[in-house]
Amino acid sequence: MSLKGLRVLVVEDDLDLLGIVSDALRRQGAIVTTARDGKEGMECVLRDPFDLVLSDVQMPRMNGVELLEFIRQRDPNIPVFFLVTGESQINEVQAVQKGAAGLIRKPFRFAALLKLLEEHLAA
Amino acid sequence: MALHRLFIRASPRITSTETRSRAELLSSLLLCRQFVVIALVAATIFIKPAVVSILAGVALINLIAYGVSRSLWYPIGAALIIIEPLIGVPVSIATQADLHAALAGPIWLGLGPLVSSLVLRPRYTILTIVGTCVTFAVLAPLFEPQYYPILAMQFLFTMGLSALALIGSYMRERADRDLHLERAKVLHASKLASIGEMAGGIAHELNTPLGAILLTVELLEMELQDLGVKSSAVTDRLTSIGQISQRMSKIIGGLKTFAREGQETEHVETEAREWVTDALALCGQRFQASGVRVDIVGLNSPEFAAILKGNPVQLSQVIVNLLNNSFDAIRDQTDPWIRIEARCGPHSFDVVVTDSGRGIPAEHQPRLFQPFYTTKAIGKGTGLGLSISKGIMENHGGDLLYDARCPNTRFILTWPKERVSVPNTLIQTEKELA
Repeated sequence: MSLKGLRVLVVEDDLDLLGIVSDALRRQGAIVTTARDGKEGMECVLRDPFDLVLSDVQMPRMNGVELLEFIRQRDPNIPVFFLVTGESQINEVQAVQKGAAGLIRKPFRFAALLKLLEEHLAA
Repeated sequence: MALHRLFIRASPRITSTETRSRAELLSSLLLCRQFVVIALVAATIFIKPAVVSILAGVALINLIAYGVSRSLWYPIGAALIIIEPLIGVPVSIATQADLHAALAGPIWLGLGPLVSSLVLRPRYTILTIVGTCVTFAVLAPLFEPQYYPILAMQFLFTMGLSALALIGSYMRERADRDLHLERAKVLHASKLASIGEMAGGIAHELNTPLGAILLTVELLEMELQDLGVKSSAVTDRLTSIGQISQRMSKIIGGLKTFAREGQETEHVETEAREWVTDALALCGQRFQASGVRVDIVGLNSPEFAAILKGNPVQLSQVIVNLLNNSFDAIRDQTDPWIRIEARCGPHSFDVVVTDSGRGIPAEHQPRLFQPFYTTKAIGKGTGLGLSISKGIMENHGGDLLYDARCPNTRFILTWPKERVSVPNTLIQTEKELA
């Protein structure tokens, strides 16, 4: 299953990474919206519907876990994936407990991210 | 006071300014005292003053001296100085009037080393004992032969006290050294912790931009593929950017191992491969840049899959310490190399680190694992690496050994077999061998 036509929100405070992940997703046919922190992400969620959210955890103003909680209040079904740096932020078990669909650790290969997303969408 | 400097020169161990000035003061005072007592005792042979009161005066000077020395043992030192004349008096009363003051002197001298042992190092105590012997030798000819048995008893009494004094000062020195070592270890650990914390922060910050580089490379590769470029110098260069980034990611992984995330001391089940690779990720690159070849022999072999309960961070630290020692020793050789192997013997599991060095000279071997023992230049080594590593190994139920039989320089991390679970394939191989 491809990402074609999928509405994806990418939330990441590192703008280089944000740009490159978005580009890569667009190449796969996804319709990508970007946000630079949790607060911007929240505004996007209020404004538009999404099929998938990719979010960093540690961000200024509002972190990824808070964003996830906000999204869950509005829609329990949107899959949210965390892009995490290091063990200290959140681990797989905690992420799932909070309601995330999964997480991927930086630095990651796009192929790995794609595989993770496709596995989830196929399930 | 040139003589007291001899005492100081005799002791290269005295390094800190405070200790040096204290030792200088004490040694000059003790030396003064020897001369004063020789003069006093010699004088009482010919004149008959109440020497005890003069001795009490000298004792007061000593009391002040020890007060100035600010020793931890000052109260005991002071008490002993006060009772010195009191011990002298009964002996004096028991002997003839002319002699009594003279004999009080040697007893008083004997207590000198005892008191000094409480504030000085053994080296100084030995010097004061020698001083006492000299005093006796100088004084003895002044006495009539009939007093020699009394003098001999006094001498034996004095030497007995001196022996006690020497034991006391050795014990004190050892306690001092232990304390010093403990402090250095704590300092070392806190330094490591702060370096670890900093490394953790850096690793954390670097992973995100590194991720962006890796993704950019991947994206460019895909775009080139779309353009129909199969293989060219451009794709090759992209591949090498990817590889370099992966290597950076590995180095960061190694740093993270030493960071806060790995600071907890709890023991987990860990594969030998894991902590050996982490150690190499940290320093392997630096070694390669200096032309030192590091090989892990059979990294994918079942030996390296051996699992033991421990703290992977501390175990990595042992390997890093050994690697750094090797690096310092062999970097100037024409073809320097370091080899890391894992071995499963019938009774033990060993991780062996060998370098191209020609072994450690026999005279250094007995002190290898002694704290603060280093042959490196000042500022290059703390002399703690091997002793801390051995401590870590002992905490992990194993030991760190130097293999003197190897023609090269070889250290062995060894565990008894029962502490390690080795893969089934290895057990089978051993059975087959049997």
